[in-house]
Amino acid sequence: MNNSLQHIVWVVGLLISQVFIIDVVDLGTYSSYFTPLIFSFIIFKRRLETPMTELLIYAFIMGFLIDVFRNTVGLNMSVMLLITIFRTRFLYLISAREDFDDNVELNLFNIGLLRYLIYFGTVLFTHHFLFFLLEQFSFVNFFTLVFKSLINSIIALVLIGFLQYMFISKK
Amino acid sequence: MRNLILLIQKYRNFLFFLILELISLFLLFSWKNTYHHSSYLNSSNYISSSFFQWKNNVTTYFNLREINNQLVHENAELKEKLLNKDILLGKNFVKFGDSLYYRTFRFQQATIIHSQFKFTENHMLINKGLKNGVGIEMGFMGTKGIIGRVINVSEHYANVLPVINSDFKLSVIHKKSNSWGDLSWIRGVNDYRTATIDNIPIYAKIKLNDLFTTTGSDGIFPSDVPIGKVIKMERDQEAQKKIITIELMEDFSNIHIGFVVKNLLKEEMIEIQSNE
Repeated sequence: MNNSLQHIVWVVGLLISQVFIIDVVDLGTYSSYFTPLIFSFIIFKRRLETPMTELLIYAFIMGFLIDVFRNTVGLNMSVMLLITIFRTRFLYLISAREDFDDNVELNLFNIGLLRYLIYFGTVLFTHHFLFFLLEQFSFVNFFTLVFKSLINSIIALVLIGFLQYMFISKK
Repeated sequence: MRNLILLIQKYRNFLFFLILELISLFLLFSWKNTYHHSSYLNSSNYISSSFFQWKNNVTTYFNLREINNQLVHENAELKEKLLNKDILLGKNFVKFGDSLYYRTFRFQQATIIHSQFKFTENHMLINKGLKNGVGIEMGFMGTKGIIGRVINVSEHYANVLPVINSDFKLSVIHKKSNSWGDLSWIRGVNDYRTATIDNIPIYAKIKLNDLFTTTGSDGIFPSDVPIGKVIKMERDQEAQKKIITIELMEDFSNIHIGFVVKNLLKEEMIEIQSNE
């Protein structure tokens, strides 16, 4: 019970920081390079042993909430579901199955900086890439799109790291 | 039968994923394609709009200076127009209740409580809704030019589709040569300060910094409302047309107030258009 309450607090916190803080930052002409999506952290940080059904429900709800606030119903939902189902595949692509414990939360302090950068870097880049692709729904300016997702995933990586330093206690 | 159940059991996660994914893709595409969207799955619903209202209550104070400046500028401009008009006509010629001067448009002041400008699908939320007489397909103007049109209304709030959204289309007119064109915003090409005008005939004489305005033919906006100034021109010899990039009058990263435009004669207009 305590655990799921914690997850709900994370959902609300990420929603508010995404919609009311990150989305309203104005950087002039470069604004489109500052649209990081940090709310997917709610899925990526979960333990590997978490049942897939639960993760999918979380992804569905989180995507839906973001979509309602951003007026893009369906967009974030579908991308979140996709990255949720592919999350573990990515993890095992970049490392051996024994490298990660099943019963720890995947955060900066538990998996170490290098693995954090590789794992979160990969999944965040995939998330941004899929999101921008589906949002644009065409392959025009493909390299701008890749560049944009790269920049935004690096920003998201830094922001999520910062969030973890703030709100997750070190062990 | 047993094998089937085993199969479902084996792939139940994937099947569950498929169902949810299909639901969200259905929502995504039905949302994009229907003209009138369902009115609860967007930010003008009660819960999210009260969040945005709350956010606006906190941040609006910091923008007061900017809002004030915009209003003063607009006031000066309007005063100039109004007083010059009096001189031109002479006050004696305009009678009260003259049928020549039938009132066509009503303006309702509104505050923009949330606006997006850096995405490929930008939206805007204003704090006037059904209770204030705002309806779907009404125009929305800023102090300098047009902003967008209303696509969704709830009791107290409304969603505006701004010019900087690829779904926004409008016919525009070049003031000096009277040539018509189509305004659109192309994602990936235009940013929040620019828009593209297509289908201008190649023989039209257009220079940099020329003004494009609304035509008034759609019944959403009055005629002669400024939209933007020419900053780039391209010639398409094959199609015998010009493609023009304009800089929008409104700075979409920094707008706080606007006016909902209600056309009192719109029904009459639609009726006569459907008879054609």
